[in-house]
Amino acid sequence: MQMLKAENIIKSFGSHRVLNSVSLEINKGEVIAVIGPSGSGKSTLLRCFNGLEEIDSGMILIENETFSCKEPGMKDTVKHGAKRAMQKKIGMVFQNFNLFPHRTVLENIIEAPVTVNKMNKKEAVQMAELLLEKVGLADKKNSYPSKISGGQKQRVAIARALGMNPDIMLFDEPTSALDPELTGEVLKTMTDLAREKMTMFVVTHEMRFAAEIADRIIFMDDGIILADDKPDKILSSPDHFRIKSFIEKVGQ
Amino acid sequence: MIMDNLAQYIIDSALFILKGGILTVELYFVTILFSIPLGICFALMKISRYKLLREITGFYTWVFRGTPLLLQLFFTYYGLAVVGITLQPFSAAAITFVVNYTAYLTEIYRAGIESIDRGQHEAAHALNMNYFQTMRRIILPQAVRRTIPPTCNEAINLVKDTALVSVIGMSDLLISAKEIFARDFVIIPFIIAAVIYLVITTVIVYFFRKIEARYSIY
Repeated sequence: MQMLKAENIIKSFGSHRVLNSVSLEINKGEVIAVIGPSGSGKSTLLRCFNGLEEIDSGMILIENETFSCKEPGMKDTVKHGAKRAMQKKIGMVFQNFNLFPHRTVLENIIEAPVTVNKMNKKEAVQMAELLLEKVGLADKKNSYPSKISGGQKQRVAIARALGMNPDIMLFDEPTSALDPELTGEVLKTMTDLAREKMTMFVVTHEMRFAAEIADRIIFMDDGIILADDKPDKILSSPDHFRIKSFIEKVGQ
Repeated sequence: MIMDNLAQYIIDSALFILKGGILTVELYFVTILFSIPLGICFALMKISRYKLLREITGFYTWVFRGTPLLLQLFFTYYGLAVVGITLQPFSAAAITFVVNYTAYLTEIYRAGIESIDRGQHEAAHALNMNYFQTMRRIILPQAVRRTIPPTCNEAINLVKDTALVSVIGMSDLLISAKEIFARDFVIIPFIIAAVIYLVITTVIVYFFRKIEARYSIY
């Protein structure tokens, strides 16, 4: 079943075209790793999927509902309110965690379920405690974000996104801001999530994660998708010299 | 003046000056009570995505930060009377102070709000929070914390600025002290006034420190 579909997405920042007619489909339960050189448009594409960036033209469908549909120079045919409702299905994890520093770990997780979804606070706390257990941080629930490590922060951020019960999780370079020895714990949490058949769209530089966990790898370069295939196909026998040189540089 | 009477003289003078101080304190609280929330509202308008709101608040802070408070006081009390709007001295003073201090606080809170990392807005957006939820629950609590020290500065300035109301004929703390001085020609009333001002500002600084401590748990 189709989770997300993007068609001919075009996006420019000023005169620089970051996404040049990008199309792709994500099926339910699929884990997709997006790789490619920096500035290739990976993060921008991901951010278009939850409305953090507005597309210039193209179409985005989420579970077969139009999330965004735009002709060049025209307004989006989807109203703001409808977008917001659909956006509930999309969780996101940032490179810099973006935890709320004035809230404890637990409060970070229950914030949106309580204020946005009007969830009963008691239930929200119970759910948050379960999520914290899942990411292995039950003992940190009353800590403030400044008091925990980067890897722990990112696991809290994952738990926070899961608290809204999303159908798809977007990860924007989730381990890039971490010290190398802390990436493992975050990747493990993500691997667990993949095993539970969560649909995941992961912009990453972690080639091992891409190789072992992803169902598909998308290689982006200069605003277009150069390749979209099974990991072993892309990593072992890339049919494009740009991909080959990138993989050699990153080093498996 | 003999020593026995000196103590009595100081007490009597202090009581008289404190009576004037009541007005100072009243004006103080009215100003604080209105200008802090108004400053937050105007700050949000000043960074709004609507150009008209930005321009109106921009013009407002430009005028009221760019002209003397004394002139604004004259304008509200004497100036408006000429065009038929007559205000009681206290109302005129209160309105002027609120409008003037809101202008400064607007800029302080605007800077505070803008200093919060964009990632905080993005995280709130990703969690499906709307504008008001994001501002009230995520951005403003952090911005307010950062703006406690400059707000404290303004709160101290305000204590001293209240002395300006004498120009529209109000008997505040300072004028009461000056009345005793004019009668007795001794330095004591000024010293008493200074001590009272210091006590008030000390209390304010203490209060803001408490708030700051409460906010610095994270």
